Formats: sequence, structure tokens, C-alpha cells
Amino acid sequence: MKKNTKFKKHFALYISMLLLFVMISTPMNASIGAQASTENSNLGYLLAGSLLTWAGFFVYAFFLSRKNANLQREITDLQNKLDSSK
Amino acid sequence: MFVAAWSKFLILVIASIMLINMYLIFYVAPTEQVMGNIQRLFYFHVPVVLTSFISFFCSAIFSALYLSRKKYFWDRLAYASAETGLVFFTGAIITGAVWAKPVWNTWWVWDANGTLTFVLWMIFIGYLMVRAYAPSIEIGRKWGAAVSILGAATVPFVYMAADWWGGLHPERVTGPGADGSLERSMLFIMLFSFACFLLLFAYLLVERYKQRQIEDTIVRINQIYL
Repeated sequence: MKKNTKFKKHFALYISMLLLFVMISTPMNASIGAQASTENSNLGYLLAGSLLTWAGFFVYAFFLSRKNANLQREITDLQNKLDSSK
Repeated sequence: MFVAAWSKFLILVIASIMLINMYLIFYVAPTEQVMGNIQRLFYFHVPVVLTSFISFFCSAIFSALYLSRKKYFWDRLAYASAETGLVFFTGAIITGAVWAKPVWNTWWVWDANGTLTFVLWMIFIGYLMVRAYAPSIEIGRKWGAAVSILGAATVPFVYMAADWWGGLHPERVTGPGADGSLERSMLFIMLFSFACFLLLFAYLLVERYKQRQIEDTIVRINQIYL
């Protein structure tokens, strides 16, 4: 039951992500070199691109460390349960 | 103890060479004449894309090995590889979109490359969903392996899409069959960046594999003793 609710939540997230992606990505006046003329233009985009990439990796690293902490907790719980059942 | 120390040492090594990589990208790489500084995203975008392709291929190979040998070791590697690859591929999509906005005046184009990229992304999100919501762990392993192999079969089409079907995405400038128009210093920095991201991928893959191993052990203990 719990798994089913979780699935519904994740599926809704999946669909909304898909819709958001399609909405954002609707091409409007796509043209090569539209705004890229000067050498120092678009530094904001360069900064945003590199920062977002690193942010992504740090979020994943955070996810891994949280998972490690959860696993450690589960192992302790298991140890306690096994000790009490002896 | 030794593993933890080794892991910390590896993080330090990766962080150090990543700093060198950032220095090369922002201070040493020549500014491209047409696009200007925004072209420096190339040194993130291409290495991250190539790393994710390698991880998807690894996932498919490990999945095939799991299907033929039925050893959980291969399944864990396949899962870790697919998940890490998806993180890298998401990074590639973000850098691609941020690069496209000032150059093409749009975040995304539904040309062959864009569409197939989206399809590949969805296939590997689907892989994680299959693994999480399959009726049983065993079925999840089998179905997941099939999805992973399907995803890896899509990779060559994404890689060659601009060459075969055109569109706004430029054709490849390096690699087999490419026109080789990339300047030598740019090529060197791109390859260095690729090596850095590949090392980061290897580290994350091993860490995720170890977690999957512990998760599997906990499930087994629960099944046997509790």
C-alpha cells in the first residue's frame, strides 16, 4: 500500500517533469548566432552552466551520504533485533 | 579502515585534478572566435556526455552478464552504472540547454539530436522506476536489465544523430569519422577534462556499488532471520 502511494507520487513527478520540459523547450525563433557576437558576452550563461553542473554532482554526493547514514541506521536496528531474538 | 582511507585519498586526487581542469578551461583554453566565452561550456558538455555514454554501455554489458550468469555482482554494477550515468547525462542536458540559449536563442530544439537525447534520458529514468516498482526484486532485476540494454542500443543513434540527420546541433568535431577541425590545445583540454570526469564517474560507481551491496545484504538478513 505504502509502495503504491510512493509510486503514484513518483509517477506524477515524472509526468510533470516531462510536461515542464516540453513547455520550456518549445523552440521560439531558434537561430544560430542570434546573440553571440562579442567575445565577453554570455558570461552569465557560462557561469550558470558550470555552476549547475557542479551543483548536480554535489546534490548526488549528498544523496549518497544520506543513503549511507540510513544504511548505517538500518544495520544498527538489525543488530538490536538479532540480539534481542537470541 | 584501509578502504575508507583509500576513498578519502581518491577524493583528494579527484578534487586536485578537477581544480587543474577548471584552470585549464577558464584561463588556458583559447576563446572561440564565433561564440566567444560561452564555448568554454564545450569542456563540460562533451566530456560529461561521453562519460554518460560509457556508463550506459557499462550498464548494458553488466546487465547482459547478469542475465547470462545470474550473479548479483553484475546486477549491482549495472544498477550503479545506470544511476551514475543518469546523473552525468542530466549534467550534459543542463550544459547543452544553457549553451543553446545564447547561441540558438532557445533552450532546446526538437531536432534529431534533441529528441533522441530526451528519449535516452527517459529510458534510464524508466530503468530506475522499473527497479523501484517491479512486483519483486528478482523481476526488477530482469526487466531492468532489458531496459538497460535497450537504452544502450539508443546511444549510437544519439551520438551520430547530428551527422546522420542534421539539425541545429553541430556535427562532431573529434572522434572517428569526424572532420577533425578542433584546434590542438582545445582537443588536449577536452581530453583532460574527459579523463577527470571519467575518474569521478569511476569513484561514484564504486561508492554506489558498495551501497547496493549493503542494501542487498540487509534484505537477505531480513528474509532469513526476521
